[in-house]
Amino acid sequence: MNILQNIKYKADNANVSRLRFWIQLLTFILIAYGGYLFIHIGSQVPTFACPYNQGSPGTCYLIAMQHGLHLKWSELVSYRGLAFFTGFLSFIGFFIVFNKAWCGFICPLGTLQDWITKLRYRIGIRFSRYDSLSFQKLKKVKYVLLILLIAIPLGMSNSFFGLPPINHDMQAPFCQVCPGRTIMPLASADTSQFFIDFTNKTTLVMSTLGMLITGLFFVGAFAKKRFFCFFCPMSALQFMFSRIGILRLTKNGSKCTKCGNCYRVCDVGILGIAEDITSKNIVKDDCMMCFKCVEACPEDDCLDVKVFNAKIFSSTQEGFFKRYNQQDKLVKKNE
Amino acid sequence: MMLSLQSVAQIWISNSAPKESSLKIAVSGMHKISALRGERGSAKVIQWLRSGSSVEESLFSQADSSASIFLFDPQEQRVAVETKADMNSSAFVFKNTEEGYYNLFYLTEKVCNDTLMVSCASREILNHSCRNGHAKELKYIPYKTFGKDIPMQIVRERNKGDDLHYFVTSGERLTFRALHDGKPIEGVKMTLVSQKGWKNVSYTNLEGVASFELIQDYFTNWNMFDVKKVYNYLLIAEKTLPISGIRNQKSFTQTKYVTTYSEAYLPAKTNYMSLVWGLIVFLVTVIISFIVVYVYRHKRNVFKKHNYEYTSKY
Amino acid sequence: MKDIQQSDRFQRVVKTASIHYDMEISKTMAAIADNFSDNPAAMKYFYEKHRDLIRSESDGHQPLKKIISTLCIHVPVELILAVGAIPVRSCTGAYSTDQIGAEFLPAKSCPMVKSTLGAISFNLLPGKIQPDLIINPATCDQKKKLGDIDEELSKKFYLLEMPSTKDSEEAREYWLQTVFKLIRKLEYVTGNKLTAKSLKLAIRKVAKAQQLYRKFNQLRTAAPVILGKDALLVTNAFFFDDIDRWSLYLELLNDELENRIKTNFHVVNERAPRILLTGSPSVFPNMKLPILVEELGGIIVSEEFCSSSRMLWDTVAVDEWHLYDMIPAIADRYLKPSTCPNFSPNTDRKRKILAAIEDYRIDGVVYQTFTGCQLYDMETRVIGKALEDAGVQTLFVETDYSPEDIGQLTTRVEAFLHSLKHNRKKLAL
Repeated sequence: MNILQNIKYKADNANVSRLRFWIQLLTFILIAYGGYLFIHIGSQVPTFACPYNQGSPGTCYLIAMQHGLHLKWSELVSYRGLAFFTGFLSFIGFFIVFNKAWCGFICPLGTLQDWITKLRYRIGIRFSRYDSLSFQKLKKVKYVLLILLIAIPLGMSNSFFGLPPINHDMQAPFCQVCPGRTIMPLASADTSQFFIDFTNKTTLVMSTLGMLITGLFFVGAFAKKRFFCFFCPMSALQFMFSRIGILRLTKNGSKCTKCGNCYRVCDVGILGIAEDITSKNIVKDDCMMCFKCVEACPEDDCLDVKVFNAKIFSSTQEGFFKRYNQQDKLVKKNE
Repeated sequence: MMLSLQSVAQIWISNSAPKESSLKIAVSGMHKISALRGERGSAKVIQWLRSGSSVEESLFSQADSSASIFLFDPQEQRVAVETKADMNSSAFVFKNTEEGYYNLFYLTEKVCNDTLMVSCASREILNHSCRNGHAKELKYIPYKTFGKDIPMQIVRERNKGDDLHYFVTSGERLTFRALHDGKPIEGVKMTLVSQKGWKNVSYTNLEGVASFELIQDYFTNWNMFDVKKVYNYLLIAEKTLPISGIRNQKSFTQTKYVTTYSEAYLPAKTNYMSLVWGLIVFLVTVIISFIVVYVYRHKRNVFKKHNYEYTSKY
Repeated sequence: MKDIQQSDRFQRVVKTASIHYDMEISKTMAAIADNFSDNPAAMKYFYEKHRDLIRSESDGHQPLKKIISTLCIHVPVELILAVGAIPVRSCTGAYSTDQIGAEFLPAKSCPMVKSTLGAISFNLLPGKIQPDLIINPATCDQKKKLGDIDEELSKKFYLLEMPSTKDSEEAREYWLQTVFKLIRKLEYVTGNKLTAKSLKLAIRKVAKAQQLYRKFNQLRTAAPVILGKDALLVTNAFFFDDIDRWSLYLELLNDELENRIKTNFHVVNERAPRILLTGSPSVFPNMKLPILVEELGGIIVSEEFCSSSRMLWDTVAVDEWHLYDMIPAIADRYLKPSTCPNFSPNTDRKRKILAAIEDYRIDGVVYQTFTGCQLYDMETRVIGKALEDAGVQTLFVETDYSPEDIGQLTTRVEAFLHSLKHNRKKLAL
């Protein structure tokens, strides 16, 4: 085998979940404390690098988007509109490099949820799963949130259907309810975001919603793997550009035996990976590209991770059994 | 005409428009600065001249034709400022293109009896917008001194966290320094007047510094407390120095400097943001949702142990 | 009817049947082992295991453990191992027991069902075991109805409920409930509780066996180093052998085959047509068709039988090694990838066969249907059409356990292999 084939062979046998754990730890430290180390990654970051956290090295794009959309229709063709579009293009540029792996490997809220899941696993409490009907209904929530976070800032400067402009207290509406705002500053021991704002009814409602959602985040993440990711508008926004991503996840339907292993290990519970045998691009809107499915597939070359069109990690029979055997210290004791 | 010492002296610059103004004013940005909309291009900042020592009741006054108006941009360069006169008021209008503090001064000098009355109204207007993003770390902006042009200048010493996002809040300790020709002078009588009329008097020390605690000056039911309304405080500094001279063929033996400095402030966050309530809502949510999820899962649990017991033979 | 067991006639029938069964075994083993020269040395273990199929009490079975007989691959073997019992797949391939079973069932029944019934009722299961429980899945009609005559045979049948489709959510949930009920039953029968530890161990044991089988398959495909008849014997041994021992000997066989590949020791020449067997399963000693194909010059590189590859494919993958995830994982694995024709629609079988044709470089398909097997018979249309569209030649064979049609079969298979060789030459040119 030549060098490239050798590398691919080693990659196919690699334990990506373990690698992912370390990458998540590293990026969490980076995003929670990078600002203290003078790292700057800009304000079009496609993940929850919350600026409310003093140590954040950059700014989550959603806040830039909400502030950027706070303009009149007429201003869309002015320099402000241009600034918004260039910001949007930079966001897309950042995003397509890792595609949805921003969610699975880098997002600090995702990492937090994964740690809570590990805690639950250690204790031995079972996880919850959505049945297929609830799954179909609830997955639309993230699109609703995305539409709201685009429409409300626009509605603050313009009038929709002749109604008066929305109260300025609704500025950055998603940030007011986002669990990132309350939780990320905790990394710097800053609890100042855990407040209820009694100024007027709007702020009262929004800040209460924020605290409510923070509470639900923790309980939900404990009961279900990656609970919040199902409702995340960043995920919805990213999915729109997922097709042009550089990192890709594809499936070769003819090799699929429908064993369902991929569905079983999927944290987000995407049945489509197992059931869909016709699509090539298997990244659904909830997918966070953690590649657990590729690890769990025992058929050669059924699921592939590609950079452009070059395979960098494929499901293989050998890799599957190697990782399987690694999981297990019990068999060795009893043999 | 001999104007009374009082009314000539206490002129100050205000951000609030007079009620009967015909101009189209909008309050913009996080620092709630009044701006003139319309025409083409970006908005222009507009500030009014008022006289009196009460923040709420001071009258709007016309600018004196002999007065000098100075506007310095954040790079300490002098830039143009337009004076707009309305029915009973005068306003200063300028374009705020640079980011940072603009220093606006309105200076009049008049000889009255034997005294040269130098009255100066000053204000620092902070221009900053987060709209187009900015550097993660906000710079600390020190105050600028203009000893050459302004005989007696009042500067506010910078507090912790004094950067482009800074807003004075009630409950803070404000420290002011009086500078004469750029050098600190002691013994200046400083009066701090809050929005609702509370006054406190202090004298500057050897370094020209006097400090005040800006108290919250009125209390009401929480739902009547307009927390997002911006208040203003007024600092009046007075000092008489034995400087003599001749101005406009009138001689004087002493100079009385009256400088005012006004700025906006917000009520302290603790008035309307409750961390305790936040924590309570959070904990209640966690407990209730935990119980709900637990009961729901318990009911639907297919893995229950007693499901495993088999009673019949087959 | 209980005293039928003790009656003289019964004893005589059992004796006759075992003699005939034994003779069948000897004949088949002679055909498999002795008529071919290049048998791998490691196959000796498997040959011995089969020769002794009903000769003695099987030495592999520990007397303190319960023995549970299963009649289908849909019964989760991991669960049986986890409660400390021994699973023995009891689908029988003997003509002698077929003739016995014919007494209880209609004339046109599936020969395997008749044979199994005969073996069960006359205690002629592998190793002459007396199972504590017989798990009978409600897959095909004929198997399902076996449970009705359990009283007559005084045997304990347990019906394992199966959904008729595997695509819907409701079917999955139904099957999960069935698996739970099965666990309850197994715990009751054995007196042991199912624990996470024991289940994990069982899953891992089966996974190891599956891993070795996959390697075996890979080696088979890489080069023609072993004939299909031997491969079928290997998987057939899995029915009744101790799983750890089976894994051990398969590993030895794999090592030998690897050697064969290195030294380029092939059992057939390149011109031998590569055949895929599919349809009703060939169970030892009914190896009529595979032996025939290979005697006449073909090589069976893969079988889509529930007695071979389908039994040992698709490993259970578990995310969290606790019972709440392991049991649904097992349930899903035994339902979702199944290509048994008792499920409708069965597009997965079509896809599997087409994928196998590509992966194993198949020249022709031999589709075996037992007389009376409605399910496989009905699928010949769909599969036949798909194979036709793919341009692969298929031979549809309808047969049963009796040795009378061997002459006719020989002619047909010979003609088929000949036409395959001919086509090969044409394509090569």
